[in-house]
Amino acid sequence: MALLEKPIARRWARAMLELAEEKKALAEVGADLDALADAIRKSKDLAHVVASPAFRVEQRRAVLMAVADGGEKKAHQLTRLFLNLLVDKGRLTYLPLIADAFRVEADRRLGRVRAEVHSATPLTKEELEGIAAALKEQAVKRQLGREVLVTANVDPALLAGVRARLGGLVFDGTLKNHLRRIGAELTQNA
Amino acid sequence: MNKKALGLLGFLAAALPAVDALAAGGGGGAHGGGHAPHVEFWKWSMEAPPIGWMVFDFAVFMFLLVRYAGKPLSNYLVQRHTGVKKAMEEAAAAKAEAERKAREYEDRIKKLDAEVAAIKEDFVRNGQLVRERLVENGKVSADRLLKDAQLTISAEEKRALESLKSEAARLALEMAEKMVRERLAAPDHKRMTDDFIRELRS
Repeated sequence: MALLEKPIARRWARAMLELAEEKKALAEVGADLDALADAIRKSKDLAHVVASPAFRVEQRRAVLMAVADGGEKKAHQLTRLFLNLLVDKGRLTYLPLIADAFRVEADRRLGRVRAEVHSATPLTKEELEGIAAALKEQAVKRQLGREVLVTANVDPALLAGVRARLGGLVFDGTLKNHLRRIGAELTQNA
Repeated sequence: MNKKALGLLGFLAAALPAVDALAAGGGGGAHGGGHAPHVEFWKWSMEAPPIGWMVFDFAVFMFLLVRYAGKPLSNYLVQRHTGVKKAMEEAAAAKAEAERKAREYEDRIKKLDAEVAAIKEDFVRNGQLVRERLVENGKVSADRLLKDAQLTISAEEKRALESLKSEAARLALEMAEKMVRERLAAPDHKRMTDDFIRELRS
């Protein structure tokens, strides 16, 4: 079953992607799916509603629509139709995997690349924009994509500086990394 | 065979008158002595057995013996003779063989001292060879053990040194990290972030 989950999820994601692209709502639908997948992953109760056969289809549909419309803005119409279809076909448990597959494929089609930025202290808006711009230059230069979506995280263990992961590349300018390299040199040369 | 039987009967016929004469002579003697011996040849009486019939019986017995048992008896005797002769020959051969072996053993006993000396010499020679081989093997093993021990010592030294280096580096890093944590301030963070952006753009 687990072996088939990803191929099934990819198939659903591709179908949804075609529709979203046709309706020119790729970004909105992608954001909706990401938000729903994130909610299912973070909320045990919601995950239980999605997976447990104890809930009827209508109950599941009602809960999911409430979550989809509960944000700052309502979910896109296409997203709502897609959720209904997933509920009817009993494929709701695949939603997080479908969202992942959708994101990867949508990023590829839109020329987007995702970047994770880790810093020891919270970055200011200007700093984050500067980093995003620099990462975009790198992404264009290395032909990874035309747009960079940056996610910022704080990790005090890094001591100081910033570390960024762009696709498969890592740029490490943290003090922790400097100390690690000094330690390696000390071990080799001592 | 019949000739032999007839010969035997002839012998008996000749012997009977002699016996008769003997009996008659005996009777004369008895007359002189006053008491005649009583011999009967053919008449049955309680005082004297009839010698004539006894001889006749014997002759008939001999005739029957020769007539019916002569040939098997003769064959048996011939076979017996051959068997005894063969047994004697075999015994003679066995005796000769035994004598030959006895002589051989005597010779071997005479040579035994020489054989013992040769075996002893052989043992000594083999013992020396084994000892030399053991000594040689021991030297090879000792050399190998020594080399292994030297390699092990060298590897252990290297490992210990590496461990010390790594431990020293770890302690130094811990101290450095602690000092950095204590002394880092907001301007330092900003400077490092700016450096990161600058390096990313370069």
